[in-house]
Amino acid sequence: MKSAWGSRQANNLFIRFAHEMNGNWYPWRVSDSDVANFKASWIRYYNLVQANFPGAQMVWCPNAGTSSTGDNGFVASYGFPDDIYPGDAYVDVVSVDSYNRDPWVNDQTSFNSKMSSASGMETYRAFAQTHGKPMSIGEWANASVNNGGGGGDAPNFFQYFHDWLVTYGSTTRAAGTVLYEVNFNVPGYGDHYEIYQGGVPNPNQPLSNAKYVSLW
Amino acid sequence: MATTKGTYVRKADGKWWTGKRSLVVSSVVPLTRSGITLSRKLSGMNCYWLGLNDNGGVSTGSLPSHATITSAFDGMQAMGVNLVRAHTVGMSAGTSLSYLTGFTGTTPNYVEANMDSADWAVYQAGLHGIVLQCPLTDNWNYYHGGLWNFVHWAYQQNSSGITDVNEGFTGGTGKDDPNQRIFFANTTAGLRVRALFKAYITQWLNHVNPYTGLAYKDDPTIAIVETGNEIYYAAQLGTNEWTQDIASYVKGIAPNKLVADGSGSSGTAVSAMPGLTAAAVDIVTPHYYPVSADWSSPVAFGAANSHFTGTNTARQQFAADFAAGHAAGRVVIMGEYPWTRSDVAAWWADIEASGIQGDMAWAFIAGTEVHGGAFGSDDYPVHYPYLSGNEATYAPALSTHIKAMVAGVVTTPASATLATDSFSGTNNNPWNSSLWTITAGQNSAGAAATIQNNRGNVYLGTLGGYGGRLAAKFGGGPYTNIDFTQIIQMPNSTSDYFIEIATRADVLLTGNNGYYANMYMYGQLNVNRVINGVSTNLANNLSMPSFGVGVDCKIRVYQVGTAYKLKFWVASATEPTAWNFEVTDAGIASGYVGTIFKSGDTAGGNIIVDEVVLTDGAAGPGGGATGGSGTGGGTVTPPATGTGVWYSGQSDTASTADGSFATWRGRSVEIGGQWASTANPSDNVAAADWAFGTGSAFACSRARPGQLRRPVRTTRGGRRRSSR
Repeated sequence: MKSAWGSRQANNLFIRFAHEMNGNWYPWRVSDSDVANFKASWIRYYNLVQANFPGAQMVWCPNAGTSSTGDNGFVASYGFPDDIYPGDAYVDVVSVDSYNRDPWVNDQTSFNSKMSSASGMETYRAFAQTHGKPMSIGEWANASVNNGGGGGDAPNFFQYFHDWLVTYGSTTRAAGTVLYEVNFNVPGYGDHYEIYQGGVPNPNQPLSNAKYVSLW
Repeated sequence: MATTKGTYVRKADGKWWTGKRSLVVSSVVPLTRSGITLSRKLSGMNCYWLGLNDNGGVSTGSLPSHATITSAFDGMQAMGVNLVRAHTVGMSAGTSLSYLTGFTGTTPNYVEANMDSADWAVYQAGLHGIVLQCPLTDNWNYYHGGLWNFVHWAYQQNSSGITDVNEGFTGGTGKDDPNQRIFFANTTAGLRVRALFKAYITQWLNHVNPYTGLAYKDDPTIAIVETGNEIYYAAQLGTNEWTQDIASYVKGIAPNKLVADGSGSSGTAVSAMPGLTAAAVDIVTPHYYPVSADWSSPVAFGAANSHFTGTNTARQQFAADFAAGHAAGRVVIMGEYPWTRSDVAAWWADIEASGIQGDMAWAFIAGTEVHGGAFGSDDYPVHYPYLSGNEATYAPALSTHIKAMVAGVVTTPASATLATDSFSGTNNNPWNSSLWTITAGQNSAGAAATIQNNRGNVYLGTLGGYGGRLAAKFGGGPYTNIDFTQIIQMPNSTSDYFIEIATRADVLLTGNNGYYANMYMYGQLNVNRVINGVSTNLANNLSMPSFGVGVDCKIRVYQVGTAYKLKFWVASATEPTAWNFEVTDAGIASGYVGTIFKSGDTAGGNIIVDEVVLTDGAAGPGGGATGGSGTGGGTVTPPATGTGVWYSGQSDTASTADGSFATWRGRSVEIGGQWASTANPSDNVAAADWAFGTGSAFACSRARPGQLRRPVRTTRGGRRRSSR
């Protein structure tokens, strides 16, 4: 990685290691019995990065989901996964992957409630602030198909999320500010998430597409 | 399954986007100033030897090797450094290994080869994203030459009006000959000296670095040019004429440089610096070395010190200094300070909170070379890797400070400990009377607070019937800012026991005045504010988990200003971030601290108390020293909001990382983020497919490849599921 990065400034590279480790869907999932091992392995990896690629930024990025089924024993079921936070000395950026689903929201009150829930983005931001870290949104998107956790087109969600970014966004790495966000514009997943799909707006969320174009 | 994600863009004009729309590239982005702020926060180290090394005090010095220099920048980068004060890159005149070795008649002798180490250092600094602050000469007669050389050369060419100052190297004594002060004089003879200095400045700024292809005047890595090192006499002239002349001269050749007033030296107040009024000066850069009057021993930053104005402490002097600099509209960068003081955490917090734009500790040393005295003396060496012993113990905290400064956050200094007790002693002895005032209630026959098995033990007497009451005031007081933590273990009994944590209370904790957190051992919390016996309920029967019989629990009460916070947790667990109860209340401003133990319906019962710690809560909840290893428990006082500008990107798959998104959004380039991936079930990443591209591949217009910002995911292949 360092070789590929070359002489570019190391701290402009963000390594989102073991992302969504609090879910139950990845091989690197962390169950209750794995917590100590996970922290130890994170710290080991962090130290390896420091030794071999000093300056590269380590991003701690759980998933905002509080999986309701099939997750027995996984820390995601406890809401905010601070029990698997490796420690301030080993994390450069606090991040979260958060989707507009479970619950899907498109009005301000519900949005605010979602944001400040136990695993909401605002809760993560406050955690980052307390711990002196900038934060990022590792993945985000609207779940535009009402066949599960999603709920349809959600232009208001885009507006409210953008409002929140305007409040907390900063390119200066300061505690509790949002350094970057990455829209998950990826096909598949039942056409849930893309806003821009093969050259045209995703027909499931044309209003969201338009809102994104107008705001970003 | 390998996959490629991410689409990040740059603007159509070819410049890397700095707005919210895309991810950014910079090499060493030119440093710019706006009033009292710079375009980014800086922090780092003094590294005086990069152009010429004294090798731990060898008089003539030698040019440090490329490997030594590169290793130093690797190390400083690992520490988070983005600013280095590079004395011998800027001051290279007066020795046989200098750029300007001397004169033949009136012809200067410049030796390009002697700039090799400086050139390599500038090149490496740029590659490491570090900018340099380069003093142009030195007040002190050390191994590298200084301003006296120019006086001597001017005298050689025309002795009229000049007293020769031909010190030679005096062995590191830093001699400061009064006759060298003609260097600053606006007289005929003084201006002859100054002309030689200006000629050196011209030559140095126009020197072309073969490793970068850039003249020093054009290289943004040399971001700050300083008129000298500790040329304190420039602050005693009563005029800014010399400083303005030199600063404007530098800008006449190199208009993009920021110029720092080099009169900063320990004991020179910023209010006296000519740079406050010299229009061409951007930055004032004070130094702080709190030491005893005879310079023989270090003094804490927070201790009164004859070294500064009046008997200011260094902290007070710094507060006055940055206020003076900012009032004059100047950027303030702390040029030098020693970091091995007992109260350095508070010093760092001062710096971080002050709004100054940069600071540099003394000093980063080459390789494993010795530099002056031992760690903790009046020398302050740092190496990387840290040398074992004290340096390895304490230098990580320096790195933490540097990173905090760069990130623009404030680390919390260690809380001032007011009182602690861990109850070591002989069984049945009473608690330490210098720490505790124990008051038993009227129905508390037999109640006692004793030491048992090196723990505090409260026996609540023989009567039972909820009558037992033993109040234990802790520490001194009264206190305004309180951060009070202790272990409590409730008795192995089914009886009902309570404790109350008293803060800002009356001195005997009678219950008539103060805040009382009443905790019932089986799950209820009440918090009352009582003034002259009138109780106001702040928390009413809040549920809380049972303390658990026979289990050590920790309880922490924090009260600063109008904030009241309380949390509890099983002592074997990590302290949680969140507070269980918070309220804002302005009823009582100060008072005493302690715990009241109350019995249940049956007689007897022993409540165990341990690890009682009372600190000055003004240091902030979360407390804890920044010292030691890592970031410790240091927390931050962050900005409440951002700037409304952030970096934005899109994940994408390989099939669409084809420019179509960029076209849609009207951006000229899109960049694919990368996943490491493997199908190896052992989780070894057999074929990480990093392909970040190169600067040229992204049509970077800079002299060096740009730096791309993007999130990178290290994953093994596998399905991905969104939140649910």
